[in-house]
Amino acid sequence: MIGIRLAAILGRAAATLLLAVTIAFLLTRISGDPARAMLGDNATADQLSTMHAQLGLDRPLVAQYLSFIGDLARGDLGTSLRYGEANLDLIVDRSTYSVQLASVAIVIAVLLGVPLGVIAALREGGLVDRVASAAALLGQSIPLFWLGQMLVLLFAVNWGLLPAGQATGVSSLVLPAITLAMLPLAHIARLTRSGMSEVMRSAFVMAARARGLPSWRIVLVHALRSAALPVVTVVGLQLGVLISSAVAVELVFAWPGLGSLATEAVERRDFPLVQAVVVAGAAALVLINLTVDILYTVIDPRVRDGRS
Amino acid sequence: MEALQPESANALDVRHLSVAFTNRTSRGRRRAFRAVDDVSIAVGRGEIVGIVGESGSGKSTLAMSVAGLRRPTEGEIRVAGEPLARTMSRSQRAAVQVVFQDPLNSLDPRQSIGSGLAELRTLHPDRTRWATDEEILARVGLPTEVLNRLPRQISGGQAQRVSIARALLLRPEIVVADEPTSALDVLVQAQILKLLRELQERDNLTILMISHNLAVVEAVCDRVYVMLNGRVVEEGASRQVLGDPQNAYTQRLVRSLPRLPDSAWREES
Repeated sequence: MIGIRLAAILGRAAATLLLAVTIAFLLTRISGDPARAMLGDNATADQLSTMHAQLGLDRPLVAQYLSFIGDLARGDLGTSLRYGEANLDLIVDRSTYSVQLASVAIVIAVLLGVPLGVIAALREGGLVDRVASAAALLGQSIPLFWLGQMLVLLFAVNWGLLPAGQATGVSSLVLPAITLAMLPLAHIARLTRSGMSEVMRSAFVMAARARGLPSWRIVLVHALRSAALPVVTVVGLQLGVLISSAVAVELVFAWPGLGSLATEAVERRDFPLVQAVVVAGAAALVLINLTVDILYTVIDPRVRDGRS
Repeated sequence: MEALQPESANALDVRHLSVAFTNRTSRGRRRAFRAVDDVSIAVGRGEIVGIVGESGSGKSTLAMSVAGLRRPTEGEIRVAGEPLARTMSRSQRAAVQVVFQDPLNSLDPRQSIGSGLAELRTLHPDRTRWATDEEILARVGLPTEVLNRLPRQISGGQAQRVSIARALLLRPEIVVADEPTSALDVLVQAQILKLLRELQERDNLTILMISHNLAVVEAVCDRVYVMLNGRVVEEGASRQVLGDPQNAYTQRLVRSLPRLPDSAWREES
């Protein structure tokens, strides 16, 4: 049973990745002539045809697509026009910074969001709940680029406590990670609150209280485990959101991650690099969702048995 | 295995108990509503006492107050002569055990039956030493194989037996059974009622049974209290109260509530 489910999960992931890669390929083709975008409006016909040949754009679309897929299958994401290096090397290099930033952000989001949600659920309708819910709503509404700039203004410019940006050490990670954590933190806190509040009203929690189980054990061992499943999903999905949010945050803090690389590639009209970054982003998302699906199967026995 | 109950006075004394809820009117004003209003009941050791009444009569609120799951507004609850504190101690919690209406949902879906029993042993080592897991399961008619199973891997009837086993393991002064059979099919209902009767007769188990099913109450309970709008309107031996009701509400209740033929229960139990 579990083998069939894993095979289905892997098949779905492969199909999603193929679809994402195809959309990335088509988008770069239908958004205009990449050669003209790179060379500018004053490019001559000879320059354009040389560029077309260099990029393989002179071939039929299907042939381009097949060779694109073939290159991807071999792990070849092409070469950057601006850097003259393999796109894969550039992406791997910059990914280190992005993964570092996203990991710290998601750890902050979980470490603060889950307890905040639990406390709000346990004090449902009380002051703590209302303050936490308002803070969570605010966290989901604040534009990240604005929050990032405010944090830079306060902590770097006015008080000089932390560096304003660039990957210069652990301290330089603090402000961008907090900024990036805000959205998933708010989401995780709200979800944990609603899940916990439902579980805390359930019969098995009442039964546990009646049996004399201490409150901490009821909350941490029984209730939180039941409420954790949707949170695990959201943590996975939020990792995906972080990849897109990171573009704004990396710009504000001059963080040399994938987001900055994508922005530079668009600004420099480095079409193969844009395409490679989109494919890599899609692959990362599919991988995250795949991990969440597998984790889901492991955590929830009902999913494992194919009951839900 | 030892006997379940030590000898002493009443297992439960509820005196002038009131439980009020506050809600808001459509104009936003606070309004107090008494779900239980000046109720006094007593349950002797080894008795099965029923609380009957229609929905909203306050019977479940009374049961939850006795179990310490709902804080009373006024009055006193004594278990084996000892008044329940507003914040019940662990041993007081163990003294009053609850068997809930929905057996499957009253067990943690991610905890095996054996692990649930082990958790109780860790929390109440002195109270649970008297019987092994195998012995306690045998007492409620379950095989030892269920120890490794999760709640979803057993039937509703087995789950209710597990709930009863968990309650018994703690050697409670009283078991509050809140509609213990209403989520089960008729045949399993009869088996659970028979088990409760056996436990009462063999182990002198004290049970406060909340039910809207008069046939169940009549078949199992020694005495019964009838509740209406949070108050007790009639009490007495169950056969007498339900066979020859004196109060107008009880008469209406006896006439209107669903009731299986008496013989159906008696044959099974």
